Amino acid sequence: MWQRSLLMATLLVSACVTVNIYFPAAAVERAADQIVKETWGGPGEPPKRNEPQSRIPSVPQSTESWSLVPAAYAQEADINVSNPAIRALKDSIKNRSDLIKPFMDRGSVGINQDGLLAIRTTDGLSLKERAEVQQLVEAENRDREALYLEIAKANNFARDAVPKIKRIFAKSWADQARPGWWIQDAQGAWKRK
Amino acid sequence: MYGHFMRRPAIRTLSILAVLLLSAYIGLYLLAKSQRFQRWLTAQLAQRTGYTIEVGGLSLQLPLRFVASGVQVFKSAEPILQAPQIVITLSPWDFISKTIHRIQLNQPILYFDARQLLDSSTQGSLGVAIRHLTIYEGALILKTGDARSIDFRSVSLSANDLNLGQTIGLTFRAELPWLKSQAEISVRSQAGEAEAEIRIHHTLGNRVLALPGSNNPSRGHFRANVKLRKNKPQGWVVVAAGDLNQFMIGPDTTTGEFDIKTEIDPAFQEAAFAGRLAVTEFTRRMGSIGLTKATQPATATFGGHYSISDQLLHLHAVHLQSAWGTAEATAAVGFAPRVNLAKGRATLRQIPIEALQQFFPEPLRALAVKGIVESELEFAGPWPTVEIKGIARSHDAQIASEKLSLARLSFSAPFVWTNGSVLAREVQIQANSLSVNRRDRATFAADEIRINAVLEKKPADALNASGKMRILRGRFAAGDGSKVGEKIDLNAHFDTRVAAEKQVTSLAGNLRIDQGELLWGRFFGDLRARRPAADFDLDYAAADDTLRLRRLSVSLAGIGSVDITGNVERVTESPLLRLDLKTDDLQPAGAFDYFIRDTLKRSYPILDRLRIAGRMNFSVRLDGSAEQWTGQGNMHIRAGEVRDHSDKWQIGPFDLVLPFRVQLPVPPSRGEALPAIPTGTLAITSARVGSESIPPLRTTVAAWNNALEFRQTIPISIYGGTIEIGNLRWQDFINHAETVAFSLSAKNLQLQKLTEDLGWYRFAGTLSGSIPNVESTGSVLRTQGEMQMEVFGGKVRIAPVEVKNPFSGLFSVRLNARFEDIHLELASETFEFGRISGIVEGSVNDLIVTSGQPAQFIADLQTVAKTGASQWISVEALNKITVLSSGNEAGALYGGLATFFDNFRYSKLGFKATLKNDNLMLRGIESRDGKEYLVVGTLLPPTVNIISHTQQIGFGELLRRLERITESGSPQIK
Repeated sequence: MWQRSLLMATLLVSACVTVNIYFPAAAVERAADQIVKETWGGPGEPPKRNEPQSRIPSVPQSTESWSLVPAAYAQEADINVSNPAIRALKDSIKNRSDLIKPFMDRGSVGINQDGLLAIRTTDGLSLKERAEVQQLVEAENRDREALYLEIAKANNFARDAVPKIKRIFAKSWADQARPGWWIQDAQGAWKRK
Repeated sequence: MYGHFMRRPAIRTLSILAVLLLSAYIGLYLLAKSQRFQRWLTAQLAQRTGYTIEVGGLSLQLPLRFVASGVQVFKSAEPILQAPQIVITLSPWDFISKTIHRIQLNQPILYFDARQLLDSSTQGSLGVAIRHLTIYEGALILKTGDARSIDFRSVSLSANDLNLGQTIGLTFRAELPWLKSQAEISVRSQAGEAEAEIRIHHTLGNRVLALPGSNNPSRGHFRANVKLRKNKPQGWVVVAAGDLNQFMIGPDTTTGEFDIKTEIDPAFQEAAFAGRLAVTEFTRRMGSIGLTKATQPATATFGGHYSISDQLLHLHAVHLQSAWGTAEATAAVGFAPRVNLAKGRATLRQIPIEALQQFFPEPLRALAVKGIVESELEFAGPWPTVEIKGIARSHDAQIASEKLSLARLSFSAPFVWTNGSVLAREVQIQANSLSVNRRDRATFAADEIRINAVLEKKPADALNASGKMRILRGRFAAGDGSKVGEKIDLNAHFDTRVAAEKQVTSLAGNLRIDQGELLWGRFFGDLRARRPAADFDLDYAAADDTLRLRRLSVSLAGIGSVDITGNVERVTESPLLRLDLKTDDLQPAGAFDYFIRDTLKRSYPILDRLRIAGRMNFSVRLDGSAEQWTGQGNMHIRAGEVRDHSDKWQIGPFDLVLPFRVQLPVPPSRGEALPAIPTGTLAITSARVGSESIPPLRTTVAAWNNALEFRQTIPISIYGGTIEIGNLRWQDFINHAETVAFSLSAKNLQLQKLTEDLGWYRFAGTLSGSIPNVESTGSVLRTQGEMQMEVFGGKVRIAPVEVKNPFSGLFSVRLNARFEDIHLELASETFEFGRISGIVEGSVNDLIVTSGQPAQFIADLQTVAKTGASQWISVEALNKITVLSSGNEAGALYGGLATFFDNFRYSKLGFKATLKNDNLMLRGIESRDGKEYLVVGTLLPPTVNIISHTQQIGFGELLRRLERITESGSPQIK
């Protein structure tokens, strides 16, 4: 009798399938790569991303629970990154890029770990350039913050997904950065690409 | 009984003795008074000393004090001593030892012949000692020959133990109260040579102070040995040598040694001297300024001659070598009729600036200075009003402190110093590297500073300095780097008056910045075009740490000037402002362009489109600290104008008179009782939107405690109707300019003109409605209420409306719209969609338009059957609907019989659509068998059904279809 009960319990447990709703990191990566290419692409080094790998669903970054049973992952689809707000932000970022890139080339501005720009140093800049770089970085970061927020909203991500989007974008900005640009790693250290 | 007999003889003896003594004293008294005794006494003294002595009177006072009056002593008819009174006190015991107990000379005149004094052979010997000698208010007249003499007045002396009878000639002690010292002087005299030894000991009360570190009390703080030798036939030689051991003059001590040799000619007319003075430690004071104690040795050699007859001293070669530099000097000093300096020349070399630092004002004394000063001086004139002319120079000096450094400092200062007054003309100071680091890490620096000035200081008067200053390539930076100035060339003229006693510094003048760059946060200013300038006239009172601005006028070219008066209290701590600011002709356009447009245009592109004009004047009183202040005053803008750069709209000219009161960081709480708030007026003479002119309007406005409000409803006649803005109010326009509230109502605005000016499809109709509350908070503007458009024969009700980021590129509008009785025929004609008749109703909810593009909506629109309303659709409209829904031309679909008709009947037309993330989900008015009908035909021909097979349309595809609809002109049904 107890063997039958044990068998039934085992069957019940093994029949339970946990569906994890996770953050679609790979899709966001693809979207980030595309947006970065559209806005800041051009004369820089072409992205050297391993495409097949990027299409593999990434390991879930946040699981709501853990269980002894195998987890089944929801099929990952491309995310929405097209609406007027995102388009306007992309246009704004793209239009500004030619003004910012010279400061990136000179090392004055770097890409930080949050996918934003940071003024690393103002050495070698005239005061006019310092004012200009401050205004540009401030406007650029305002657009980038809005872009990350709009992407989260367009895809119905929770607000706490925004930092993840930022980190993914940070990687895309860094990957597609020109050689010589300064990148901030996850530990906050600045390195030259 | 025995005692009785013994006491009586004793009393008798004592009585007899007393009578005898009394008789003797009376006898002595009478003797002293007798002329005979006086003649005998003067004769005896004349015989023993060789002097002629005259005594006016002699008397005896108790106990044994002889008072001689009118005493005169002559030798060879030459006066030696004249004294109104001489008091000689004798003691029986001293008398036995040939000692006079005390001699006091009151106001005597003593005459000395220098030659006789130096000639030791003339010395006599009395063989008498004087225990105490006091001279009170006497005069010494040193006769130098040829009826010339040197007078020493007001001489007082107190000497003890004078021995006049031994071979040494004279030994005495004297009190020197002005040196707090006691002197021991012994004079020896032998044939052809006299020697004097002088020792001075400092005293504390009656106790002689020992020398620190010395067990020999006889050494003295000052010791000199003077030898006088007759050197026939050349005259006399005087050699003096000695030393000083922490010898105190005033509060200071000096240690060193000296030797001087003087040769006096036989005629006693000329004295040639040469000497050396070496000190290892000395301190002095120069006026009220104490000099730094010098521990480095200093040596001075000097030589010259003194004309005794002319009383003229010639210093041929004075050479001073010390750690404070070297000096070479020559001079002539006359002593008659008074001290007079002539032909004085001095060259000072290698003087370290540190040595002069004590002359600097107090704050500068703490600086570390390096450098060498040289000076050439000429001095002449009577003492003490000697006039000194000269020039002081320095090259490549350095000044440094924790907060300040100044390198390659050069200065040249020609000056004249007369009787305590200093006048320095053409003072030139140049420094090539200035750096100032403040406590808050702010730094100031300049590559070059040039000052040309005139300085004048008179006794009991303030120091005046005037001149000009030029700073080249100046720069400053705040500690956090947020405020930086560079390449600043500044010219200034100044007139300074420093009243040290009153602790008041006055400064007047002007300054102008010819070029420079300024970074202030995000603001960048090129100063070359604006030429900032300031005129100032101010006082700084150190006693109460207050800056009093009589006048400060700051101006920027193309913007205007501001005049500032008032006080700044607690300047060096936490400044407290009480200032009045006034400007008469400020150009808002210049201020807007310079300070706002270029700074914020990247964040707020709309600012780049604005053009400002007009003139402004204001007066404001500022009270408070930098952290919390209140400004109250009046502002007047004349002929003001704000317009779009492409001339799409314009407000102005307008006139604004505005009393205001602002407070930072926060306004007073609303609960505070306030006096009646003054109001101003805004009068707009003209305004225009597109081609639509707005008639003049006038309203009241108040700006008080940071709140800006228009208390009257503002009626604006426009587009054939009226817009009324009411209760327009910014609660805190200083801190939260984006937070504004108002009510809005529109009456019968003619849409024909409105749509034309907006660049939309032109359509007729009116816009009316009332929004009782519009609130803008942060970047979002929300409305409550409803606007109503009467258009296309029906109504469109719009509510609520929400606007986000109104001033950024991400401008977004969200609203719900309800359509009622819209005549499709009018609408389709307006939008050139092809002819469609019928009445449509429905809603578009959650419509969001971002950057001019629809970003989201949920639409449900469909025709409603109404009596008398036909429902026809033209081929053109069918074609466009087909293109829009399928992406394909309708030609192939409407072949056959359809080509014979221009219009088709329908029973229903409409759609349900949602748009989100550029995906349009289009569904029909009816769903049958899985088909979505956009147009449902009638039973009677000619009729048509349009079935949508592609329900999802991407944004790009939708744009292409719309382009095709726009491009397609005539129907393409075949």
